[in-house]
Amino acid sequence: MTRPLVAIRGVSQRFGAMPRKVGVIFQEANLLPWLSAIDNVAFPLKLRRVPKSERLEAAARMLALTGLAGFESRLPHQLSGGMNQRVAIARGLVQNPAVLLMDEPFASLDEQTRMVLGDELLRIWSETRKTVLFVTHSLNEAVYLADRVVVLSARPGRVVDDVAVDLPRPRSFAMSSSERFGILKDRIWQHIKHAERR
Amino acid sequence: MTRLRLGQVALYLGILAAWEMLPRAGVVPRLFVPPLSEALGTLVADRREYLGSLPTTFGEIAVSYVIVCGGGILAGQLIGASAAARRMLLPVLRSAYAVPLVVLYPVMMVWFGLGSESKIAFASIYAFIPTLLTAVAGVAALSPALAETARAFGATRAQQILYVSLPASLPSMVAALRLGGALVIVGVIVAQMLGAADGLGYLITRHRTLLNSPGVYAGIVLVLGITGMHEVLLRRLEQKVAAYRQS
Repeated sequence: MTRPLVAIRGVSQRFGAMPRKVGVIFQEANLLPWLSAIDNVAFPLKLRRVPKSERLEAAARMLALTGLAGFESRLPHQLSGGMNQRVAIARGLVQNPAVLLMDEPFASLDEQTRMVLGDELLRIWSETRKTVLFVTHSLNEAVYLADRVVVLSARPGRVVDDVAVDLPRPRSFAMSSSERFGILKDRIWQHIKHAERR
Repeated sequence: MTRLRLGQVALYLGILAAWEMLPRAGVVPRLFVPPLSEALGTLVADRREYLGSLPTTFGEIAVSYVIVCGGGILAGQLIGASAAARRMLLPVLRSAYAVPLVVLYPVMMVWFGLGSESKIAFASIYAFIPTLLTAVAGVAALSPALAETARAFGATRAQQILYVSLPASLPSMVAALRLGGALVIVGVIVAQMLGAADGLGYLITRHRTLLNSPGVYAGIVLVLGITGMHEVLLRRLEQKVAAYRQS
């Protein structure tokens, strides 16, 4: 089996190898249930045999960045779904990757948590300036978060449009009811409205 | 919770009281069930004999325990981790589990003699398959998502086993240990009862042939004590290991 090659801004990465330059965040938080929040965040560093004090320090910084200072010793079942996803984001960031790959990271959360975490992601982005590759099925999420929306067709997944989102930053909730926002959303919708999901 | 506890305590006390009162009242013949106090009295009076049977019994249990739990859990981990091995071996193991293995004990005696070896052989064979099946089920039930996540962060195969599969399957391994240990105790006692020159099971059988009911029940009380202790210890270990599961 050949591993897919992903190249973004000079970072090329074959998945399955040692994706140190890419932090991955999945649809589910997928935290190790027996590890505390801080140990979960430090886990990728543990795999690379980074000394313990160093990796706990890095993990604590990432938890603070994702708004979880004070929750370091909680186990995943003691945290809400949204908080677990914040832990997962902190874990994705802890190796200081060049690229953050987020595969529908908020899809399993409720609307309210989803909005809050979207704004959190924008704040984290503005502090870290990582390139974020964000997969979503939500038009709002795509236009609200992104600089650029690449629209894929369903099966075969071909690029059907590449939309530059020219909304100013920082983004605000009020923008999502602006005319420009609606125009961008509609342009994407025209491409995908006939494609049945699954 | 406390109400539940109280009910449980009352139930235990009720059983013990019935054990004491029913034979005394003549409802149950004393030959069938002697009063609890008589059994305990015999246990205390003949303590030298009963305690003297324990080193052999515990020794046989210990060796079988290591064979069953070590071998059974290790084999369970290996078989459970491979879907092909599960498909091939599980039907065979399940049908082997259905065989009443007690029928093998006379054969064990012929092979290994009247001493400890035949008890260890029987208890090990008796407890091995259920322990292994429990361990396999525990490993097979692991969510592949966690191992995949670890792989996405660059975990090697060895790291996936060490940091993900092993800790994730620890609670079910303790469950296998609990079942395997209980069956080992049963296996050793039964083997001693069927043919031995020493041990707690042998004592029980000897007193039975002499129609000495208090002696039989003194041995039974001791067996209950051993299994009860094992159960309490393993349950405590289980709670410790599975603490993260409680929500």
